Amino acid sequence: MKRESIRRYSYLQSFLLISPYLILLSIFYLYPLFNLFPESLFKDGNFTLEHYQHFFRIPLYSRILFRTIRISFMVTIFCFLLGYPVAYFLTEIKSQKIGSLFLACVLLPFWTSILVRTYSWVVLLQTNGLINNFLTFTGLIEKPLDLLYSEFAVIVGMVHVLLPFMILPIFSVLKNLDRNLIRAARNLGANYFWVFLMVIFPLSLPGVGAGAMFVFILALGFYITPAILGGPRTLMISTLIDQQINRLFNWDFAAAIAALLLIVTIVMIVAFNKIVGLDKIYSE
Amino acid sequence: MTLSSNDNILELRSLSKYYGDVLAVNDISLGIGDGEFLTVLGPSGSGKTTVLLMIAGFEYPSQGEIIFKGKSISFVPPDKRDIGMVFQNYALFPHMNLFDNIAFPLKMRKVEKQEIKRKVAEALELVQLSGYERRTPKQLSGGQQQRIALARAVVFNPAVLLMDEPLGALDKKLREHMQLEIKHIQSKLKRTVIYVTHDQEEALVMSDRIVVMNEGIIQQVGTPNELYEKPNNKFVAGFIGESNFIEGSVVEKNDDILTILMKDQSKQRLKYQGNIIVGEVVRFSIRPEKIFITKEQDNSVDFLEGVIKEVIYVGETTRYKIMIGNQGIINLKEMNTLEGGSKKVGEKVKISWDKKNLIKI
Amino acid sequence: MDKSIGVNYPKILLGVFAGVIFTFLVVPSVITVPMSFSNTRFLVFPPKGFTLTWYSQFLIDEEWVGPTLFSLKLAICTTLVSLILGFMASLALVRGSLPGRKFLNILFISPIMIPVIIIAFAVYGIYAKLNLIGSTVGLVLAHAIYTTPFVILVISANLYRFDITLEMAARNLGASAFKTYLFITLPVIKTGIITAGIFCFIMSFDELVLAMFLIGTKRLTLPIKMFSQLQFRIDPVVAAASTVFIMAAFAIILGLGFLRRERKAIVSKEKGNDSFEQ
Repeated sequence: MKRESIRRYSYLQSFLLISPYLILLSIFYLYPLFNLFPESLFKDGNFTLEHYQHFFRIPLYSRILFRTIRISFMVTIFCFLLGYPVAYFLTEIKSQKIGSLFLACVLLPFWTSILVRTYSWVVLLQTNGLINNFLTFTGLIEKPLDLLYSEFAVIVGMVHVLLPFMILPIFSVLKNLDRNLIRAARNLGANYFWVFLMVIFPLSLPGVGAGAMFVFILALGFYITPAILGGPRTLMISTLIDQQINRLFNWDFAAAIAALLLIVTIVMIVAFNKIVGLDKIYSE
Repeated sequence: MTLSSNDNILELRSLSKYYGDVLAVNDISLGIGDGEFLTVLGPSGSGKTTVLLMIAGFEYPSQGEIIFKGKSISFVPPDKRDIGMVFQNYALFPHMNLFDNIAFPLKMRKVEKQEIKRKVAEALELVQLSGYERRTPKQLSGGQQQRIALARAVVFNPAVLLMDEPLGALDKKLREHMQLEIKHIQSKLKRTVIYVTHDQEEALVMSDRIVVMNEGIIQQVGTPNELYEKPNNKFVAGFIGESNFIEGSVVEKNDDILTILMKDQSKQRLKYQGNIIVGEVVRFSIRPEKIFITKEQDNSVDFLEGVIKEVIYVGETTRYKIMIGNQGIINLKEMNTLEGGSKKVGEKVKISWDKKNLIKI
Repeated sequence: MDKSIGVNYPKILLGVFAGVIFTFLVVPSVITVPMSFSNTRFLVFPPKGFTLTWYSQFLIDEEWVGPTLFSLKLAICTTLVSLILGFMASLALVRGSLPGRKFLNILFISPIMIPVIIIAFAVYGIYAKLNLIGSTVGLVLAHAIYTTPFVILVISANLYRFDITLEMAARNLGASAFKTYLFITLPVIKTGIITAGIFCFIMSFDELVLAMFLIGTKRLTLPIKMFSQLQFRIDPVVAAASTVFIMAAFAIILGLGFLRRERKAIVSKEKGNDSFEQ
């Protein structure tokens, strides 16, 4: 078979290169995921929608679903509010050494275990933990606050873990902003506030979008942090699934919840993709 | 257009290349002699780089053949062709120092160590960068990188050297200097060079022969002089050097003086030497430097009358844009000599030329 | 950005704010270090006393050593598999002629975006049928699905920026396709490969959920052990384990930084101004 050119692989070569991973994905990833649906539609061997109905009928489960969405949403907002200034700050640093140092701080979470960090929050937030000690010591409160095993703890923990995911895309977009645009705006009479509002911020939106997408979708399905910091009173969807499988052995029902979460996730990904465009990720 | 002679080291026969539906190279046939400096000249998209890539082996022809030293190499992989190439962006390996860069082809040919050392030193001397072995490409200027790329491409003595717009990234003075250097190296090594460029001046300076390409087709092949003085068609006339085009239909002929009816309905009289029949639609080309402004007193010479619309001073020359008739603009280039100042805008002038310089295309 | 003329207040405020956030990011990552030396049986901060018992327990007690070694083994295997599969896939994506590339891109990224617990649960079902629960191979493959997207991201980005005329030059100078990859392509994207490899390793080593579901009953990975400790018996040994973890990560990063500086040193020993940047 004569090839057209050296610089691009032929169909056959491309296919050979990509098939090992593709096969792996198909057998161990795609098939199991698709299999969730048939699994969830049976009870004791009979086809039924009962699991899904069960989920929506019982208020407990709907509450968990809403809580999950609510928490994810809040985490995204907080990550944005906290992360955008940081990303901006990173672009303002003139010295390369200090800049790399701060960038390393942002990347540090990637090099350390999620487990370790979540566990640190347990220590920080517990009744005689660092935060409570500090607050009572300075007299701001009388007795220690119940910070752990609450929605608050979960949100704090998740923001901590997901913040870098918001900072990095925004930083990347801001860094590559054409400085001449800003100079042109100043030249045409805009002061710094307006330049930010009308030039910098709009142009940074792709980064914000990508960051928000990552954070929100990751937050939806998060397991470790809610499991450790949430306690039994703040179940989220992922911990609910875990409970159903490992403690209650409701296999089919768990499959239904998992299938629901899967659908929601996919819908979110597609929706975000339309707005943001996943191709941006490849310029990371 | 076929050109072949008996000691052609490289021959292209009816070479064509499709990229999808687009025909980038259309039936190119060309013979290149041993030791020749041949330039393929054309604008972007003319197919010239594609021809080079096919000779080097990075693209395979859709049709046709490439014959090198008598053997067909159309589908031989690029590492087995024994043809050197200098890339537009130099393509020096960034993770190796200059010694390793230049030694690379020798290592691939399993030349022994001592010999490698010797040849690398030779190559560096050839490009006047002796002693730079341990440097890395990043530490060199553009011109130096270019020379190393050249050294690397000749160190293994390939019979043919390909160069893909190697001087494009350099500034004007450096470029002119390098043009001559490359030419010197080529004649010293007696190597065949196929040089691709879009810069017609460069082509004129360096080449033994030039192949002008446009839209995938060869427009004309010839020596620099031939191409400049006797362009075959409008494209070549306009691409190499500058040309003025005069188009119209012949309404009268008196010996060598023609009366032409132009597009703007004005009638002009031109001196032309050659066969023309009345009624013919013609197109003439004449180079700006071959036209001169006649002196006031000279009445015996035939001329065109016009008004100066623009005067542009360019150091060693002055250019005039002169309006003839109602619309036609003629460009005229005149050396700035000491006698007589330049004309002014709005002046009425008479222009003429030696009739052998008007070319019919 | 422009040096703003005049008021510096916004900048100072920004700096302070950023400082707070940085502290927020960094402290929980390193707070376990001092805690691991604490003398008390419970987790307290500030730590009381100084002892190395937790470390010795971590390094000697089979209960801890076993899972750590297994996690290491798992991580190494996963990294190898992931790098090979991911590299090949990247080549195909960036340089191949594949139909539906956009779709493939999304498909390859998706394992990161889909909640792990769904994947773990779904794969568990399949593994149970195939009798793969508890098998190391099964776990490696599951981990590979989770880590390969990162490899593809990093290496694709590198390949995208890779100057293909370098490979063309190598071929032109006589190197076969294989030699070209070996001597030119791989060295130039070396940094990308190492970064991807390290990411893989850390992600696999730290991975909890997939391991929990697929590991069966006979063995534990380090994260599972730590997790169970957190739920039942908060033990400072966990702090010691985390510290070792962090130290190891630091060592790797420093080691890398060291290598880069060494290379820079060799190059700048020659007369020349700027340092070599990869």
